[in-house]
Amino acid sequence: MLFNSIEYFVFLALVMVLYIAFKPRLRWILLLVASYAFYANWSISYCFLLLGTTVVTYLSALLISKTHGDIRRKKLYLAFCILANVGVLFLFKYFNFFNQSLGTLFQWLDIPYQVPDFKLLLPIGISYYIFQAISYIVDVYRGKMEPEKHFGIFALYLVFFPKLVAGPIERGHKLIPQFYEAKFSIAKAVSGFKLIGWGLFKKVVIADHLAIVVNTVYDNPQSFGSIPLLTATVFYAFQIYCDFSAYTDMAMGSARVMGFELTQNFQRPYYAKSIKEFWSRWHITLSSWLRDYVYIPLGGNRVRISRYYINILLTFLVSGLWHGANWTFVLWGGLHGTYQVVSHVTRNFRQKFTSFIGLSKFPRVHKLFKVAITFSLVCFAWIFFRANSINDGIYIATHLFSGISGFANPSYVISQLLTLGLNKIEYMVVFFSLLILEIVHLYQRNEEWKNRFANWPLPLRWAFYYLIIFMIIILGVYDSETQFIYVQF
Amino acid sequence: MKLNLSMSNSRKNFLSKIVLFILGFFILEFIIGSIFTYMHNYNLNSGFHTKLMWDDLYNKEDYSLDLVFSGSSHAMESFDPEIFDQALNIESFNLGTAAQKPQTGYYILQHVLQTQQPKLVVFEVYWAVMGTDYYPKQAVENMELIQDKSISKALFKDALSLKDQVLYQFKSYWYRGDISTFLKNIQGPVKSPYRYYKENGYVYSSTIFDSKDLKEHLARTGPIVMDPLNTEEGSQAYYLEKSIQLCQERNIEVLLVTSPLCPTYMQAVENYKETHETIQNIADKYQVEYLDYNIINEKEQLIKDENFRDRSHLNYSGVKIMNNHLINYLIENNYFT
Repeated sequence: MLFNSIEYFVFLALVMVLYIAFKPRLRWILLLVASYAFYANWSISYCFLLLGTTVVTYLSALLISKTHGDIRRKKLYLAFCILANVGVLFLFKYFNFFNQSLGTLFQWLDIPYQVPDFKLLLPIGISYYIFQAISYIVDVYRGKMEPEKHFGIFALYLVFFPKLVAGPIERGHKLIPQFYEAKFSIAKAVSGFKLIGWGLFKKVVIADHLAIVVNTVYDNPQSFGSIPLLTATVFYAFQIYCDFSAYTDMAMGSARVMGFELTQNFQRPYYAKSIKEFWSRWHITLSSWLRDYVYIPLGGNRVRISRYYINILLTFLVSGLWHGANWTFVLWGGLHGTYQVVSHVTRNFRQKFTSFIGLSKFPRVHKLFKVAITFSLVCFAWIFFRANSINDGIYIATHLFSGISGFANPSYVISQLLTLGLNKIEYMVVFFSLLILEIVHLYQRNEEWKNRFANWPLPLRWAFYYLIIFMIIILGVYDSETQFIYVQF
Repeated sequence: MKLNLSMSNSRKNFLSKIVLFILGFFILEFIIGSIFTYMHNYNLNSGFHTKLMWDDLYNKEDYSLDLVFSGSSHAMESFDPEIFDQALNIESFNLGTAAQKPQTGYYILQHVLQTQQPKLVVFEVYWAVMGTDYYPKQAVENMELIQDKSISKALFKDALSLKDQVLYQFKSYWYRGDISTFLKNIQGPVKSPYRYYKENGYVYSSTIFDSKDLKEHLARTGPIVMDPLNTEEGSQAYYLEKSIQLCQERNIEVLLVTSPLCPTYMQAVENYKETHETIQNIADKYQVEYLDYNIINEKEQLIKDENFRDRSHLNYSGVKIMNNHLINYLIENNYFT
């Protein structure tokens, strides 16, 4: 049941109506049943895996709280719980990847190696709920939060349907109290529905149109020259942003209609002025998870400089691997880690160079320059994230600018673009929608604008809402219910 | 008490806003839907093959047809009634429409048999439209043009999921794809000299298929393995059987025919025999004949790649070859004596 399907909206409306009808103290039961039903709609058998993870993490946290200062036992319970969770993740998501990689390595070394792959379907949302379970147990271990005694509430924390399959990766201390305190309110429900509508717009009108071009080029890159390769790469940057932020908006909106607040995952990431800043704006809940549970335990920046660089690289390699069991993701993570290291190494030089050429005297131009460079680096890394193989990624990266002179001929550019699956009207739809996206970004950034919009006369505000609704209906891509990109992770 | 009243007022105010917003939505949907319906009708009347077929059919005199062809675009572009009419001195008609599934074909036939009593119905059996894939557009296109409302309604309910039955009511959603066609059509009718609706349901094509790309593609992808045909109740094979039964109940003879795919493609299909046998079993069950031109062509090599307009549709040169072969078969077996 995808967020962009009619079935989901019927499901959400039903849950919402029942939620309002239920007594507040019993609402957790409804949400738990609804969340398991939501997951069972995809796979009933994997509900047991989810339940197993829940039981192990719940009991481990209770045992940790009862160790009464016995550090050894406390560590033992923590290690057991983390190993159990990571073990499940490894088995279902990474075993075949490592097995095949080892097979290739042994073959290269001419050593016989015959370990069969597991024929297991990747459980949807596993990376998200396992990371939530780990953050919960570590927070209990660190004393940052008390273990949740109520099994139903704890189970709901892991399985709460709006954020189950693609995040945001919620922390226990933030979400669990809401299951006791959250109140339904009309204002929140309206705000939630607006967010869902906005997410749907970004998904079906923008991301799914861009996906047509991206899929055409990236599924067969050797057939295209630099204009399609560059276009598809930039389009992919917007596609993945619109797709994933759409999912997050719809998840947040779905939670908000019932009175819950999930963590914001995006802060206009392509306005970042450095890669470091990009990571504080992109997939924020994953970045902060990696910071708190990987980077800081490795020593963070309070170590020797060489170790600091290694910590950065390791954290980003984990980030890459988290996205998928494929070397393309590892390379993507490695690239981002390398960007950060190089950025740190060259910091002084860049500052001096900026002063030398006089760019620092024009802060706005300087800022624009930094945003453009950051965006270009992010786009370059996305090539490997989206490419079907490392070879495809290398091909695209090395052919991006071969034949760039074609850009000087507008009619040639247009003729090239029209071979990528969209017609002129659809390109206009994409650009108009991206314009709306940027206007909304500006509006989100500026409090004054926000207030100004809120004070618009009702008919004008409604006209804007109707515009978005009918754009979704008329211009959305519905030929096949396209999957959200981050659901596969 | 006062506080309670004011809360009640704010709730009332909110509810009235919701009702007003929804009302506004439906008014806008009606206006936009009406514009899109106009565009859709304009497109239908701008040379849309299915509409031309139905117009032709409704111009036929009652009980005037002797031979009827039923099927998808594979039928629509494989049987030229003119060739049959001249050779056999009969009146025939091609009911094939793009992507038409046997389920849709069953309702079309039901409607046609209300005013016609042909001697023979030829069902073109093409496995590509007999799969489980859901494609409501082909049903809706015909449903909108069938003048008998009860049959049209039955097709609508049978062929469309409940979700699509609801969505169909929202014309701004359902007809949104008509905008770009409308924008092309208002610039004037474009009649291709290479492919056009001829008459009596047949769509003519003179394009010659270049199989070079297909050969390269097949060399890359290797042999084609076809999925087995589903013959369970409610499947497309089940509707084919229902159509045969409908004809036999009315003493109409039935012939199953599979129009060929280009030889280059068929040579790459690994397990065609299984598909053929499934259709043959249906034919045997109802004691009707089955002519599979993929099998015939393999033996007799009547039709070559250049007799196609694409890998699965004949061009006119291929139509002439296949239709004459079929006519000989009909004569030899005394279908129209």
